[in-house]
Amino acid sequence: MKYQSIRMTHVDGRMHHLGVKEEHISKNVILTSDPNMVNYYASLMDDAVMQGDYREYVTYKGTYKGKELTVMSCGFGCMPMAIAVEELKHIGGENVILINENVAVNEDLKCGELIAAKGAVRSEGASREYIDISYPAVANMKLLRKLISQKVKIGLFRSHDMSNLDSPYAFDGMERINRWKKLGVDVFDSETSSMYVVGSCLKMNVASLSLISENYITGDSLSESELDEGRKKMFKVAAEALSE
Amino acid sequence: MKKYYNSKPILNEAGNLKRTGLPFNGMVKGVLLPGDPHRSELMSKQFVNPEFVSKAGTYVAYKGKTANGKDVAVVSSGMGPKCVSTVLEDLSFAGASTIIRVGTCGGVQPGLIPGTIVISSGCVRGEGASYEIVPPEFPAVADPFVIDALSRACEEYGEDYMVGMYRSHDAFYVESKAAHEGLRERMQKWIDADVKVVENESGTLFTFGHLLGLKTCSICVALGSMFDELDENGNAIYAVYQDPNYLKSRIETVTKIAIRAIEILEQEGNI
Repeated sequence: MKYQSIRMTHVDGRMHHLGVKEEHISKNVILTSDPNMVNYYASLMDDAVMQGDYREYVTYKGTYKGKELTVMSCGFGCMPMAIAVEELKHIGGENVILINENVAVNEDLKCGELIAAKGAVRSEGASREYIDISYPAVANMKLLRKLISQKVKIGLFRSHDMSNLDSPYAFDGMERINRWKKLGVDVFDSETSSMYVVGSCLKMNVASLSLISENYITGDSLSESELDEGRKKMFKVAAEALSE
Repeated sequence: MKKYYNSKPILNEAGNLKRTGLPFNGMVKGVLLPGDPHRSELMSKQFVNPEFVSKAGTYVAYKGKTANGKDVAVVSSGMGPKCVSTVLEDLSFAGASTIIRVGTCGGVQPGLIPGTIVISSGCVRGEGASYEIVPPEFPAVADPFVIDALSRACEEYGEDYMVGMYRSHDAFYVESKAAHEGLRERMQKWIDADVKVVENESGTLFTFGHLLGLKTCSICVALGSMFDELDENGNAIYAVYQDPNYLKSRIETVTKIAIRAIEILEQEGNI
């Protein structure tokens, strides 16, 4: 497949799903899954103005340390993530960092720590439509290095769309967790592998950073105030990486 | 229907389901499931006495009554299988029993008329999520009672409709009017096998719904065929978007049909 999708828009030129066009974003973008969290993250940058609120995509543009920055939600799972990467490419997005709260399945990871994905297990469907399963979901090294330089941990993620299945809440959840834990998977999420594969195919710079909000092995989790502190730290690390 | 997948509900401090905000054991049986979070409120305007229930993530819920006084609700999922798996599990904890997806889809068949109403018979499992819960040979089928109720509701309102095969998948830009090159070659086997439309939720809805003991079906408006011509600038715009009011009116029509189907199922004890 030659990776060159067609620009799909509304009659006024806004992208079909994102509901924004070129002037509404900057080349550096921070993504987060939950549309209700974008306002929170936008409040951590300067002069943030809402540019769009369409489907699950809420978009703000502002600045961080004087450099233009966009914060946008990308919805939950591989499907809206693949669309976000595709449509950002069409309207000038270049460097994209995903920030989310996720669960750890490695007992050595403490709640409140930040971890960036060097790669991800491709347990979702979107990336398989782009290329063979043998193609690895790996981070862009330029962006990853900027995260590493800020002392975040590096690990392996597993991305899939049946999130509660691999949890202590499901009847065979611990068996399923242990299968991946034994292979050295550190974190479960739903978006990183599709972001990495689609990003690689489209020659975008993409990286995924997570705040450990819960550890399924130790049973620890963050309180609301600890979550707030962690989110601020996570945003700062991503914004610094994009503002250099 | 029997439940074959069991898990523990995850509740927040208020006692509601944490991920979706839905009330634990507090929802009605018949639920409409649009993909777009902005569509819940619009669709609830067709209920008698609509009432806001909850909002979290992409999950926005309203409930109300049908014209004949039956309970009905609408909960948005968000796009794709991750949202569907989350909302289905929570809907089963909230007390729902019949879920009708109301949304839009792209035409697989060349020449499919924009605005066509398509009710699902079953769904090709082109998405990834259902492979985590059932083997590849397991069928994604819609509930026949719900298909029947939706069909009769269409007939009552004098609306043309087709009942046919859906295909779900996760990568919009691989199978759509805006797809990367080689679309026709990728789609030919589905065209030949009489798949009518492509969308992103029904594969997960039918398989996970089955394990959760939920009756499920989809009714969608076709945006046009993925093989329709591009515009003069080489951009892709699905035909129904040329006139935003037309799509709005078609969504209103399928919403009305789905509400009537819930009423029929209630009246006949099939919910």
